[in-house]
Amino acid sequence: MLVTKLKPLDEIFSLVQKKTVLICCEGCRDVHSPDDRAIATLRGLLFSRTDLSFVVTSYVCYREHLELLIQNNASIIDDADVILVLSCGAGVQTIADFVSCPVYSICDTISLPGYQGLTPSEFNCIGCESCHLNKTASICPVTSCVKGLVNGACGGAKNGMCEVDVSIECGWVRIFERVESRK
Amino acid sequence: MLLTELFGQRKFVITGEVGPPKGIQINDLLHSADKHLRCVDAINVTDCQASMMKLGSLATCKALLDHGHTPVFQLVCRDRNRIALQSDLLSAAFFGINNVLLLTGDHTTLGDAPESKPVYDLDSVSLIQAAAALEKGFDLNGNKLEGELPRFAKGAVVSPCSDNVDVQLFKMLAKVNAGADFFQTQTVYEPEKFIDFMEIASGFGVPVMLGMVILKSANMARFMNKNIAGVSIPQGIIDELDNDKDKARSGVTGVNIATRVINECQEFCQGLHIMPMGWDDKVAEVLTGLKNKRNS
Repeated sequence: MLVTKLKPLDEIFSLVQKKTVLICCEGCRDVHSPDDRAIATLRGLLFSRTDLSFVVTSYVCYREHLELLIQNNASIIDDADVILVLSCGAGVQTIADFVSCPVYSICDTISLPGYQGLTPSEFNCIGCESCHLNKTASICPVTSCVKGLVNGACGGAKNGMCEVDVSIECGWVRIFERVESRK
Repeated sequence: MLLTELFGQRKFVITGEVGPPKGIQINDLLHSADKHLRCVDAINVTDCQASMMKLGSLATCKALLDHGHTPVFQLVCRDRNRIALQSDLLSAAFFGINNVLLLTGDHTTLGDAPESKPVYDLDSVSLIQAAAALEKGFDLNGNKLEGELPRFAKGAVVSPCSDNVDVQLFKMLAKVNAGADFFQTQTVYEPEKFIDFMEIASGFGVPVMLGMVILKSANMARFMNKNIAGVSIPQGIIDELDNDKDKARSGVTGVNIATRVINECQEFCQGLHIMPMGWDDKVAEVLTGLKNKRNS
């Protein structure tokens, strides 16, 4: 079971740019995402604000599948100024790892016990209910930092590696590196 | 006395540091503080430093307060949730311990109880926000406090010689915005890096106290370089400690290095935080070597 809720419309509108691609993931069989009517309304509102392309797909968290999706939609994705994603945090992070333009989540994933979907991904989403990805270059600070810190690095990293396990790169250093690479 | 009041008087504020023992016998700690740490404005008390289970910071602060010292209560987010953290802040204020240093804390796996569950319900930034909220009469959830309100000088930490200074400055600004009143830095041995850091950090308008560990040996320096985040000790300093082992062992070299670095940095910061790591008797020697004596 996976449950997502749309972020406030004002917040979503603040993310759109001239050419916006909206990717809706319908992968996990027991997804409780915002209903079709809400998404249709959102599409309509976005169409009036931006040059919108809309892609419905499944399992964006699944790397090989996503690679095909991006290849098949290369004409719109290569041209996009921004990609908005309606999926769990793992999906958003997987897309952001593939493309060079900014990728933003337009929903918050709600934590529920039990099976959460396929996610055979190096990225994780624990359903914290207040997705931070839009402020952290689409790298989740909750799952990529062993302390789950959302306000910045703890200061324990040495040469960019985590104080708990030197084989893991500090999540906040990765966030800074991605921000730097996108400047 | 709140440290913020001293900064307000444009005093170059000096703090020391003690680490509580693993046990309840603190006569030695108090005796040493009475004998050697009267020369500082306040004394930090570490909170299970390096994730080692020790006597509590708050209890040790109270003992120091009763001996006429001004303690700085260090509080980390590793071992307590937001209920306990806010409650401990109130307890400190209740005892008249108003200087606090608010930290995220080393991970439990680094200490002597590596299997213990880390908490991190809050982090250093949200803990500063919590302390600021308590001062305004509310807890973090907006529930109203009763009666007289607590007051804190809310300290935070930063590492000017970190291998990624931008990450440090980002977090420092978040702490400033959360309400941090002063900063104590990780120990510094490269004045040029510190001065570069202060060029930006001074723009935040919050007093910064230069951190200083008095080095005891070349091996200690090598260990710190390898294991302590944010510490970078140049080879020249390690050679200096290596060249005359007797001088290093007696503390002469360590004190010389400390005073030299402080003297180069003093005009760029608003205070000094000495971490003697048991060498309490060397603190006065370091202060004696300062070019600019305190204007107390």
